[in-house]
Parts: sequence; C-alpha cells; structure tokens
Amino acid sequence: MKKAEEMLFRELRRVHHQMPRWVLLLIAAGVVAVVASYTIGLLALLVISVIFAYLLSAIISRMQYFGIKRSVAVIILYSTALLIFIAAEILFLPWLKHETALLAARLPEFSRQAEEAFSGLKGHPLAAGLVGKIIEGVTRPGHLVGTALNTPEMFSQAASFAFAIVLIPFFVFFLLKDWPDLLKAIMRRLPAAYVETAVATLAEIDILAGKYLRGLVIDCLSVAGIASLGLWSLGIVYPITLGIITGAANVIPYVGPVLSCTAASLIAFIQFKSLGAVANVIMLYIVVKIIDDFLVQPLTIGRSVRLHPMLLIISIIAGQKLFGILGMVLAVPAVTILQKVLQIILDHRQRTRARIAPATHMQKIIV
Amino acid sequence: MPCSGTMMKKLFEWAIDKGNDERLSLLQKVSLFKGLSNKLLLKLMVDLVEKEYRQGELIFAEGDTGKALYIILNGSVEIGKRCGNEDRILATLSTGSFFGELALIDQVPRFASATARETTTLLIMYKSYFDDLIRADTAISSRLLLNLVELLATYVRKNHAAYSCDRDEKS
Repeated sequence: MKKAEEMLFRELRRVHHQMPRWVLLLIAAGVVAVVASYTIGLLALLVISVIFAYLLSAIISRMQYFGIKRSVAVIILYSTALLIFIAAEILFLPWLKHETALLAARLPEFSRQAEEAFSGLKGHPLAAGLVGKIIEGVTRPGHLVGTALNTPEMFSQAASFAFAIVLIPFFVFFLLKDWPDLLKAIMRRLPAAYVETAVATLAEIDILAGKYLRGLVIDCLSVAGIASLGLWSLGIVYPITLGIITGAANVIPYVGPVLSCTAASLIAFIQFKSLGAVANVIMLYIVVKIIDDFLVQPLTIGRSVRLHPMLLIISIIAGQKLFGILGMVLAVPAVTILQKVLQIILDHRQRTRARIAPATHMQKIIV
Repeated sequence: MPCSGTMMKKLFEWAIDKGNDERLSLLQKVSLFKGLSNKLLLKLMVDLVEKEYRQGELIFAEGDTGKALYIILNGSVEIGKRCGNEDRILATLSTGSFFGELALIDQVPRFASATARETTTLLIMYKSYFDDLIRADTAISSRLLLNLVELLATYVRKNHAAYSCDRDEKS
C-alpha cells in the first residue's frame, strides 16, 4: 500500500516537472472555478462587500488625513449612515408609501391604457410573439404579482435577502477596519523579490478600480439627470423614475442603454398611443448616449478603462452567467484589472529573466 | 480660545492615531517632501506600504526596473554597486533616509542594489501615487519637482567633486 502511494507521488512529481507551467495554471484555475460555482452566493456577497468597502474607503482615507484613527473613522461612518437611514425613513417612508398606494390605485387604468395602445398591434404578424407576451405582462400585472407571490421560492429569496442585508454591512465593517493590517500581514510573508511587483499591482488596481467605480457613480447620476430632464421635456410620465432606471442601467455597457430605452419607449407608446412619441424617446436616448460617451465619460471614468468591443461583450456575457446583473456591471472593470495585473506579472517575469540572462552567459564563459 | 482648542484636543485625544506622529515627523525630514503641508503628508502616508526586511535581504537588485521610492522607518540599508569583479558600497543609509527616488522620474533599470543591513522596516511609495500627487495641484507639483531638482543637483555636485579628485590624483 505504501509502495503504491510512493509510486503515485513519484508519478505526480514527474508529471509536475514535465507539464508546462501554463497547463498547471489552467488546471488550478479550473479547480478554483468549480469550487467557486458551488459557493457562488457567498462569493457574490463578498464581491459586493469588497466594492462597498472600496467605495467607502475613500471617505475613511479622508478622515485619516486629519489624523483620525481608522477604527474610529469606520465607527463615525457607520453611525452617520445609521442616522441618515433613520432620517430617510422618517422623511421619505410616508412619501414612498403614498406613491406606491397611488401607483397601485392607478394600475387598472394603466392596464386599460396599455390594452388600448397595443390593440392596434395585436393583428400584426410580427407582433404576435414578443409583443403578445409584453401585452400579457403589461395588461395583467395582477397575474404576474400573483404568480410571484404564490412561488414557494419567495421565502428562500426573502431569507437570502435578509441574510445579505445583515452580512454585507458586517463584511464591509471588517474590510474597512482591518484592511491595513491585512495588507501588512501579506507584505510580511511576501518574498522581497516580489515586493515591487505586488505594490505595483495593488496600486494599479487601486487607481483603476477607484477611477472606474467612482467615475461610474458620477456617470450614472449624470445620465439619470439628463434622461429625466429629457423625458420630462417630452411630457413622458414618471420622468424621474425612468431617469433613475436609465442611470442605473447605464452601468451595463451596450445592453443597459438598450433596455432602459425600450422601457421608456414602451411607457411613451402606452401614454401617447403613437409611434411618433416612441421615435422621440429613441432620439432622446441616442442624444443621451452621445453626451455620455463624448462628454460625461471622458470627464468621469476617463480613458483608463478601454477594452476591445469583442472582449467587452464576451466579458459581459461571462459576468452575467456567473453573477447575474452584478456580473454584467462588474465585468468591464474586472477584465480591465485582470489585463493590467497580467501585464505587470509579465513585466516582472521579463525583468527577472533579463536579470538572470547575463549570469548564465557568464557561467557559460567560466565553464 | 487657545484654552478651548486644548480642551478639544484633550477631548478627542482617543480618536487621534498616535502611531501617525512618528511617521509624520519622519516624512517631514525627507527632503523630497520638504515644504509639503502636514495634511498632504498624512494623505501620502495612507498610500505608503510598510514592509519589514530581514538582515541581509535584498530589497532590489542593480538592473531591476525601478517603480518605487523607499523610506527607512527603522533600521539601515546598504547601497552597493558591482564594479567589474568587486562589490562596492556606495552608501549606508539609516532611519529617515530614502532611496530609489530616481524611479519616480523614469522607469530605467536601478543603478545600484539595496540590501538590509539589519532588520529594517521600509515605507514603499509606488510611482503612480507620486504621479497622482503631482497631477493634483500645480503648487504641490512645482514644490515636489523643485525638491527633486535640488536632489539631482546635489548628486551632480557630489559626482563632479569625486571625479575632479580622481583626476587630480591620477595626474
């Protein structure tokens, strides 16, 4: 038995020595992917926590510039957030309840308007499939709500949501408080030869992710504002809500603007019952996209995040498959960071080889 | 008023990071950061990475592409260069000194190597953070660039003096 074990280990060592390093890395990546697929829920929570912690770390750093202890800064931030939450609940909750009640009361009227607007399209052969489904969804919202409420999965989803609400602030708190200690521990264990590469990688991730995520927040707010204003000027109902949806959807390249434009066009069609209104909305969204691409994004996100369109689409699809909407949002910065990290690692390998090369040359001369 | 200021300071003493004072006074002594406000130095401090090196451990080798500046928090570092077949020690630096500053200007290979003489703690500043600092404000950038020029002028003067002495000795 022992002999068989020894033989197995010897064989594994031989395979390890014979196999190219990239194959081993590929196998390791595969193993990580399989493990990750089983713990995808927890991984998603961790990813969300890291993003929140990263966004909030800018505020913590600003407090640290005044000499305030990091732990105290985190407590101040959490206390302030709690106060804002309580104030928002007192000030906005009654208003939100009123809005929801109003919307619920208007739903039958809205359904009737939708049915009227779509009745002309029902006979059209192209509208039979997709538009038919939309009509079903829009004109019978009660049926949709009912289906959702009857689903037994609802309880498990509610439990996951509650779990996330508790866990995310918990993770964020410790990530914010302990990040410098964690970094110190990593650096202590890191061999000296890799220190500059590790510092370079961390700094580049920090600079790239910082620019992208903070820029994205400003970009979304700007797009939401411009779209709201445009929709309001066109006389579309719920311009602010649609504007917010447009801003939020804008975080998903290509797909997001198309989805928000479709939603606004649908509302415009139901409201005005004319294709002219839809054309106006489409024109507005094209203008918003041009303003966003040529004016807002260069000022906020800059040229730091640039991916080949094909790689961009592939990364969005892969992100969606792995983490859903969150994956679509994070695909672009994640692939950009991965690209940068690979570049730094390859640079490091090249430098190491360049440093080793003269020595081997000298050895050959001596020998 | 000064009394209320002292009172406020005492009242919020628990919230102030005292570990920062030592590092701040160290950064104030670094000639590269001469003339920068305490607030800016505290901002710099947040971006610095701390690393402890064992005695004899190589910090960077001659010929490596430099990407960072090192500040000695405690301990000492030997700067050496290989000349032909022998290793020459160019300088021994102690607490408060800094090295690798040429990496902040361009990313050419390191001119010399650096080794920890004893257990040494270093603060590492990555080039991109320095670039960010320069881009942030014209007043800051001109101050930092002036400090860098002063440093380079000192190196040129030192090298010139050493070269003149060598030439005099030979003649």
